[in-house]
Amino acid sequence: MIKTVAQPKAVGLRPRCHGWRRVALLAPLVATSVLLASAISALPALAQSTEAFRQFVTELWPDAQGMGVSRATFDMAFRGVEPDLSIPDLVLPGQAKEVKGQAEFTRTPAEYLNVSHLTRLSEQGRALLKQHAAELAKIEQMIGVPRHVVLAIWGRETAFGAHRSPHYAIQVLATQAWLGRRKDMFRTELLNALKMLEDKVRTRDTMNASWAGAMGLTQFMPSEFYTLAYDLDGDGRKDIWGSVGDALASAANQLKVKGWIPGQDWGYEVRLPASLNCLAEGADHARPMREWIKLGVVRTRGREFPADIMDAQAFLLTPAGSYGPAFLALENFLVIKRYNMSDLYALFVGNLADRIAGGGDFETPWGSVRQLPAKSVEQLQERMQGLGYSVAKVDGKAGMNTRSLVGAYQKANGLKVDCWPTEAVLTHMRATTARGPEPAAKPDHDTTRGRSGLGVR
Amino acid sequence: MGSAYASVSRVRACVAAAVLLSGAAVMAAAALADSRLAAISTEEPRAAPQGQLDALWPAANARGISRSVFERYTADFILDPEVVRLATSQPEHVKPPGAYVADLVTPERVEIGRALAAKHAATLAAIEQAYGVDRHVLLAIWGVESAYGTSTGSRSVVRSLATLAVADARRAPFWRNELIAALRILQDGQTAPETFVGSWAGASGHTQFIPSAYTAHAVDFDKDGRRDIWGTVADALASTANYLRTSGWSAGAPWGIEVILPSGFDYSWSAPGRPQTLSQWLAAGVRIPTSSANLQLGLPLQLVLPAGAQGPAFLVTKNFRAILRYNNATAYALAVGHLADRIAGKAALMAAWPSADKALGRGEREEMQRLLTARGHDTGGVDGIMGDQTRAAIRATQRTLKLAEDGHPSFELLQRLRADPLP
Repeated sequence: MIKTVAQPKAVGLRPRCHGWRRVALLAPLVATSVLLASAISALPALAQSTEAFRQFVTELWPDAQGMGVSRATFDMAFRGVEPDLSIPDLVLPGQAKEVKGQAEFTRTPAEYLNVSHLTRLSEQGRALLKQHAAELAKIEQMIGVPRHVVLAIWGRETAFGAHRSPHYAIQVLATQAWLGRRKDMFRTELLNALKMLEDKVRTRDTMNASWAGAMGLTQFMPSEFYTLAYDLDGDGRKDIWGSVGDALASAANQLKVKGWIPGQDWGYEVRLPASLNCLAEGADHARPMREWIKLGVVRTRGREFPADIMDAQAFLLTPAGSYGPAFLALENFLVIKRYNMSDLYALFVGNLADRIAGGGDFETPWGSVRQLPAKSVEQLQERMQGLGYSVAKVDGKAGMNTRSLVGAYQKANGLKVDCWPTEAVLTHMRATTARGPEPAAKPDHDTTRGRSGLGVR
Repeated sequence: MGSAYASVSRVRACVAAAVLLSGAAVMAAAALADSRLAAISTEEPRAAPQGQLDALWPAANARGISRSVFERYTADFILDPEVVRLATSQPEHVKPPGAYVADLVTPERVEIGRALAAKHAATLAAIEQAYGVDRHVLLAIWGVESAYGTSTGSRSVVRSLATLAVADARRAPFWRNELIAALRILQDGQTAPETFVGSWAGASGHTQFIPSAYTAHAVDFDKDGRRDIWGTVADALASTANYLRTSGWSAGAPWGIEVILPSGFDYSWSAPGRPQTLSQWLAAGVRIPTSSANLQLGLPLQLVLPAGAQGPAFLVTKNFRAILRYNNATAYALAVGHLADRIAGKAALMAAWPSADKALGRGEREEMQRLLTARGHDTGGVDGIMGDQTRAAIRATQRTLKLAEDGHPSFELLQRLRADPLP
């Protein structure tokens, strides 16, 4: 039977969009497909599904073997395993129920950056700062990523180890590789997870993971374990489960590999002059710090920007459109974001790091905005694409690109500019597209697709 | 099966042909509606004004047509008023897909197809080997297009195309191009004027190629020096196989399969452009009822509901799209695919077609488009054609009204829109 388990708490459970590597041995998905036996048609629906999953596993074997996985390990790993259709990010065509997506994209900024949650974590973080001072000093010295940021990642990912990963890694990775939105990526991760069993990194009983297959104190994907994990204590094992030093060093190493710039912050909360609003949001409108300052941007709470970053590229971030704080983000914001592709995730980690270092709350409170459901965001993105706006990706996620284009649409159509996607904006777009694209409805700026860094290294 | 069979086959084929004609007429009408030949002159002159075709000479010359051939086939040109009439008549009723498929996939046509599969077994095996296209699909196209060569049309291809080139101002460049290609076929001696006959739109031969399709895709499979789609079955079927391969046919994959959807299914997944793997459909509770489903688990499959949520459901491969390139109507591709399956010995469709699927008349179709437009959904104009844009508008309004989102222009929906014209 296919298990229907309760939805796990979504904190820190994240699929990675980056950091995985395609295994050279991996054959294209379809090439190894076996013909569906005619016997399958005699089975009832549930049995047809189970049979198809069994065949999926059968087809996986040659690639697993190619990775050095033994038959015994392979069989042990999959014994009694059924797909878990309750996890997020699967595509089950025609099923009416919408599985909740990543917390980073279903919660509002105020919900995600929950103040009491941040306060609690920063208190714990300050205690851990003392407790692990030796390891953290060693990490700063050897890897070059500040201790507060490393601790903040740990806090965000597993609440400093308090969150238990509720799933068996092979089960969720196999389900994702079989039915997920990103089958190829998860197939690679599944093969790496099998290799971890073969290499006795973990046993079947201890191979717990998030719904996306992330494991350990700092939530590494299996491929990241092989490419980015770090043995800080020198015991010959990269123990991201039991060794805080190894887990934090691995997280630091991942940030370093993804481009961390030593000596720079992630960014700053700012106050905007009247001439700037959410329309200027996004990495595509990056400019040097000194230019932002010249435009009248000031740091909150009367603080000064560090003097040595005036030439650094920075971009404006308004996660709640015009209903909340504004930030100037530096390259390191994008580096944190590469750990998990979400603005709110990176902002959470950045703010938690600041709080652990003794910093405080945001000056500007979050307004009460509602998050538009993913399906509606998707429709909105499609409509904007149809109207000629440079939507980077139709993915149902209201990120920087979508928010600033919503702002551009609002401006072009004489609506109130708040850069926040709502049902009202979508309804307006429906009416606009039904009349045909209007010449006025052109974005007043062009954005470049696929840009992922500020180009300052 | 010797000669005794042949006569039986001819008799049955004639019966089939009679049925086919109604089906073919629908398709022709649908094709016509698609091309929106509103610009055609409705007058019926007995002869075209002299010199109209002369204007074509430079273009024909540039394409290698000799002066003598050009004059031989255009000098005595008389406009065919019947072609003008057929090209301008707008269909009042379009057959619902169930009736359309039932009219084409008859027991007679299945039986003749099976007999012809046996008769041409060696040829079909060689074509399959050369092009990778399933023999039963070739037989089905042959059966649907010309009732296996018994109903290939009797109008002069050149005269029909010349008539359309002169009378249909809007699509004149298209028809002129076809006419010149037709002249080239005659000049090259591929066929004789007496055998170069076909439909009012210039399609001819066993599998009804228009001249440009012939030029690009016809093959000389029996190696007699002529690409003879009119008299040589091997050439006609190999040409069709070649056309399908060029249109993206993938060897070894079926066109599609009938499936049973689970209860509570969200029909919006039948919208175009949402293919999912077989694994995904199965995991979501979709069932394959028929045996010998030669489908790969990772194969992308698109859900198609020809008669909406109440009718049969199909998961189709990109081979279905290849058949659509032959004739861009879902009911057509479905009739071909299902006839192919039946010829191959597979079972009839499991699900019944909805008996209440009352086809909308032209006025009703336009009314539905007007009502949809009034509700803020873009139907791409009011033209009575239930194309992709109109169907997308139907889906959008079904979503708003919380109805099954199947994009089907049902009479029920029309009544609902009438009762509740504005949201």
